[in-house]
Amino acid sequence: MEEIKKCMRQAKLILPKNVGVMDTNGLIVAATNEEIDGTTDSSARAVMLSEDMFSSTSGKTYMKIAIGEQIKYIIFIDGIEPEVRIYLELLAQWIKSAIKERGTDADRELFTKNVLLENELPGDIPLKAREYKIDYSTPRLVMVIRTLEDEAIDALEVLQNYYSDASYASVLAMDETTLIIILNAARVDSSEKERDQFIEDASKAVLDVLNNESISVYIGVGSIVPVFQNISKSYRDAMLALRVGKVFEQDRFISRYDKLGLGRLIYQLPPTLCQMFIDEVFPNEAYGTLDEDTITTIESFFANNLNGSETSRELYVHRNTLVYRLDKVKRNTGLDLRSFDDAVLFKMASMVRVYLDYLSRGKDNMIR
Amino acid sequence: MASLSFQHVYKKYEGGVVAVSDFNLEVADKEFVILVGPSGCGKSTTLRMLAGLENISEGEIYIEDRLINDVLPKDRDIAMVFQNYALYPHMTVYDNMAFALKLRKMSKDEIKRRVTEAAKILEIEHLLQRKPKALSGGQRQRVALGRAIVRDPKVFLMDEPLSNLDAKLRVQMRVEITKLHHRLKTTFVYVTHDQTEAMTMGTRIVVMKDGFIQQVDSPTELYDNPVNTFVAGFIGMPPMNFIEGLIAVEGSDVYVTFENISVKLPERYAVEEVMERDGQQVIFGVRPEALTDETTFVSDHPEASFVADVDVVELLGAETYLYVTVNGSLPLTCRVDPTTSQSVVGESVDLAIDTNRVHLFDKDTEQSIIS
Ligand SMILES: Nc1ncnc2c1ncn2[C@@H]1O[C@H](COP(=O)(O)OP(=O)(O)O)[C@@H](O)[C@H]1O
Ligand SMILES: [Mg+2]
Repeated sequence: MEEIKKCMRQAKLILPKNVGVMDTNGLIVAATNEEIDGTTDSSARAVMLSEDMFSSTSGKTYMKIAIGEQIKYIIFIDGIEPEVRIYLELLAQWIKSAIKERGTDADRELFTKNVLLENELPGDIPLKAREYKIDYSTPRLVMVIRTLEDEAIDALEVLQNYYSDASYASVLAMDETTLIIILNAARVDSSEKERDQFIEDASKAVLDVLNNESISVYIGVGSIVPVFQNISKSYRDAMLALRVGKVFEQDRFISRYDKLGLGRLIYQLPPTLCQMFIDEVFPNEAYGTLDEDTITTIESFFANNLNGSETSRELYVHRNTLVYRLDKVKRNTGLDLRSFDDAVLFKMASMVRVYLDYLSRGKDNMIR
Repeated sequence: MASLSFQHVYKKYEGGVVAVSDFNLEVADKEFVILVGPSGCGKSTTLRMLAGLENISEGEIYIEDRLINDVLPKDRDIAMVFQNYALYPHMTVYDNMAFALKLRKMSKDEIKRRVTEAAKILEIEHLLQRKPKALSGGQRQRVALGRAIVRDPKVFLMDEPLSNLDAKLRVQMRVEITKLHHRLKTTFVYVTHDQTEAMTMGTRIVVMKDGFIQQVDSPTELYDNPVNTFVAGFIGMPPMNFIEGLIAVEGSDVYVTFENISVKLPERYAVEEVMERDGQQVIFGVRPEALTDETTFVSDHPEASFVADVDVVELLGAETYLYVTVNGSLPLTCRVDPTTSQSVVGESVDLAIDTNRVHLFDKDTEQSIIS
């Protein structure tokens, strides 16, 4: 239906007369005059009964359109003079080819999904891509968008409208909460800085346009890949970024594969190894003995690069209070966070704890 | 139309960043409130928590009397305009404005009514069939506002909506947004880092720094009675001069001394909070316009005058800025009257402080001493 609506929007700009499309019951599915959209034309019955392809009644000319063997639509135009039939014939061709193209659109989408999910034989991909008019050797970037359950459809519509130029980006729905954007990255040169900026801008734009419609999402960003076949890698990267982001940085709406930091390492560790590490660094559940104030203090101390004065200023506590709390950490855990090595150990171990926590909570209880 | 209430709201990020701390604010129905502060002080985070795009770590936010902490963004009855207002490039202005309503499955007639009305309010009726590419920056901005207006929200949120526009257009759009507020009679929360913008648009301004509210007041109150050195220095252009001085009490008179200069303060400063600081260091705050080189004023106020060297004279037409140095070490900025000023670069000048308009701050806490 969308393709017919699109034809009507374009026809409105070109044709000097109002035209429209109805189904065989007379329900108007699209018209240059949007006001009659959704209304019913009572002439449809008579038109369908007529033997002729064309018929004219009450100031309008009608034409039946067959798709395959069957009459599927009736198009109409204001006016009954013979010339208007030419308009109708042109319009009919136009709509038929739009509908046909739509068929290949759906096929192309399916093919793209199969490439993403590695369901295509690698050797077939370049050839098939050519068949679907997909430029094989354009660099691309894949982003995964995770929405709330009932918002994926809205998000899809927003993004398809935002990227209405299909050669620049395609947007696919993978399941009820996951969308994929495959972005053309041809205009990015090979400099690290420009790639970084491109990824930053592209992901921020997606977040902004969706937030603007009050749709809250998490975005995983893959890496830029050189050829179409490799979008599956970019997709995998984007999914990993989304997942690692979920574990270690719940507050970041955008997680980039090239900026995973320590999370990239920890995420790969086997749980038993993680547990051994925790038992070593925090023997006897030492971490659990730290109260909330102390943990806030530690986080702020790290965020301020182990600078005591900055930390006490940020927390509005006296320096002595800070020293007292750090001493307490040392007593309870044996780690003196003022020493670089101990600080590193503590930081690693607390991230590993977050990861183990996440594993024990079950993987799929949150929106990403 | 709705009142807002923030109660002990915090935003804490993993990794220790506390972006917003103990944010408390009541906003009345139909009020226009501005959040202002330097970049990174937590303005956007606060707005995004209100919009539902960011989780609230602690505390409560109410719209009207409804606790909205766990309400989805689209159910909060809020419309936002961001700095990066993304218009749909291939849609007409009409369709851009109608889009959010179509998503909400509103009837065609109602959509048409709302878009037409919003277009009329914004005076963009003649642009409805154009594409964004064919619009000027100001027109695009208006479409972005239109997209918010058609939703008929209870609250408008704007996050630096003008910062991508050039200076002239920005001034014009400030006026338009203020007018819009009068016309729509809806609650507005507006974020900017630009104190001039805040001062010209706001009826009530929330000054923030490092995630903390510093002061909530009208523009005049912020300017005349800043609660601390941060607000005093942030509000006003050129910024207030801060001078490290010493309080000296002689009988019932109070003096501030700095650089071997002793300035007598008017009677209203001879209060307990000041008197008890005899011999203590304070920060003496003097706005540039409270410093004058006008000769009769200087000769009439010997108890508040001193000599300085003129480094730069900046002529701006309606006013002149003098950048001077006292004793070769204390730099000061003065805003003087170009019709009477005779100051010349490289020469010395007699200045006087209008002591009725000075400020005293505690040197350690940086809080205003007189409340
Ligand atoms: N997802 C995040 N994780 C950690 N820190 C963040 C995140 N988002 C913002 N911040 C930090 O929070 C603070 C406030 O940011 P923001 O509200 O954007 O400030 P403003 O809008 O006033 O410029 C900044 O220090 C910023 O770096
Ligand atoms: Mg901001």
